Amino acid sequence: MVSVLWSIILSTVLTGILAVDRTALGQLQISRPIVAAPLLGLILGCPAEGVIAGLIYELLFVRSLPVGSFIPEKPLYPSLMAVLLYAINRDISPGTYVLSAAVVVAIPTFTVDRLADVLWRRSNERTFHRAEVFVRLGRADLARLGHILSILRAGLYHSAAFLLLVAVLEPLFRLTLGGLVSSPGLLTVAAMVPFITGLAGLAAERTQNARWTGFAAGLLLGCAVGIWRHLL
Amino acid sequence: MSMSRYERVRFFLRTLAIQGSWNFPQMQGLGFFFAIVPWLRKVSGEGFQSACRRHLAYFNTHPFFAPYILGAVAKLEEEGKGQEAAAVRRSLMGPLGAVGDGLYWGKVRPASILLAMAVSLIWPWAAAPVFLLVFNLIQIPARWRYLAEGYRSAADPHGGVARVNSRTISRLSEKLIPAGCGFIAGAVAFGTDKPGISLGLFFIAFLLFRRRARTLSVLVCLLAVALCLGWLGVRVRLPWSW
Repeated sequence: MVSVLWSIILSTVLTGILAVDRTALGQLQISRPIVAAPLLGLILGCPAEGVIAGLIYELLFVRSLPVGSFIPEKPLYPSLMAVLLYAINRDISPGTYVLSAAVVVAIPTFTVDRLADVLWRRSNERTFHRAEVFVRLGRADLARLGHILSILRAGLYHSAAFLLLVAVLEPLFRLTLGGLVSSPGLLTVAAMVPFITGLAGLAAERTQNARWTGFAAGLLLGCAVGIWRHLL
Repeated sequence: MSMSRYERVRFFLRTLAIQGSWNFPQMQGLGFFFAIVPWLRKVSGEGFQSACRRHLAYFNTHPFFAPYILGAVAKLEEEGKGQEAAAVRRSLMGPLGAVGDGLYWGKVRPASILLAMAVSLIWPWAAAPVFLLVFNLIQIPARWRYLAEGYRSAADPHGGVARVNSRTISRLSEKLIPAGCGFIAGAVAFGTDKPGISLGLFFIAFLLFRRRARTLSVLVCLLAVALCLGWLGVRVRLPWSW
């Protein structure tokens, strides 16, 4: 029980830190699933599953781009949630099945991630208006302080939202895990959904202007490498 | 007076927080102000208050290209050309935002991800370090260079944009992405235990996307196919394993 509680606390704190990097500070991309999921996996003692979940979600969300003021699907919560759900429930059923179930169940959490992000951005409107008042009063230092507090608030908003999500989703996952694990399409969905919706979408998008030769050459080489790995 | 190396480092660090208080009406307005205000305090003298009011306004561009605009504005403020600085900020943010979104989010990031994915087929644990290394080795030095270039090109900031638009990286990423997609599709399909089914489904989805099908429609089709396959006893396993 203590380890479950610690797992939740650690993943909540990590969510806050990574969410700050995503928009508010740096954009060093440590919040991408390919980095975030293995990092949480390493912390929770399941690095291999963290890497697998990270790669799957990275493929699924590879096409979501922030253009202008458009806020795209956010893959941070799904990747961390999948690793957390797996880490907590890994002893209940065979590992591959629990991971596949966690990956599938965590996909819709991107909506909560986006919602928390929008709420944080709305809360910054007040910060801006206060900054205008401070500048009129000749207190530019207080306006700058407001900006720093907004960065910290990004972490708090996302930590709180993630914690609420865990409180709702974890018991549900535990209750339905038996049914999920025995469902016939589970492994196929977990393996193929991200692969197809993400990668096929990106490939179709980027071959619009006739870049077929590069795609075909890459495909042949990939198949050759795949066969070679299969034979090994 | 010019920007010392120490001041430039501090300025650069502040530009990393340009989106720290991003909001819908004014977007990066307060972030821009946060980054430039210590410099304004140094160069504006008596006009500090009006300079502050000038730069606490709507601003939105790509966060990696913001240092270019900040550099140009810093130089113009230093020369006492406040109105010109505000005009440069307004006129450059749109074009640089479009260039940055296309270059970094649309090309460099997917290319880095695909490269990391390719490495993950041999060393799965290396995916995260490779992605971080490739992406950040491109973007961090570029952001540093944009700040210096903006400061240097303040007399002709629009002309300087051509120098910061990294065409080589852009062209390389453009070629790498389709090839990378093909490579990962082939290698990952053979990483599963049913490569024929994996590749078949990939191409069906690919053709649906080419016909401008929506992601949700493809997703629903795929779920139906996966369940049918499951009932028929065909199960495709995860492509990555130890």
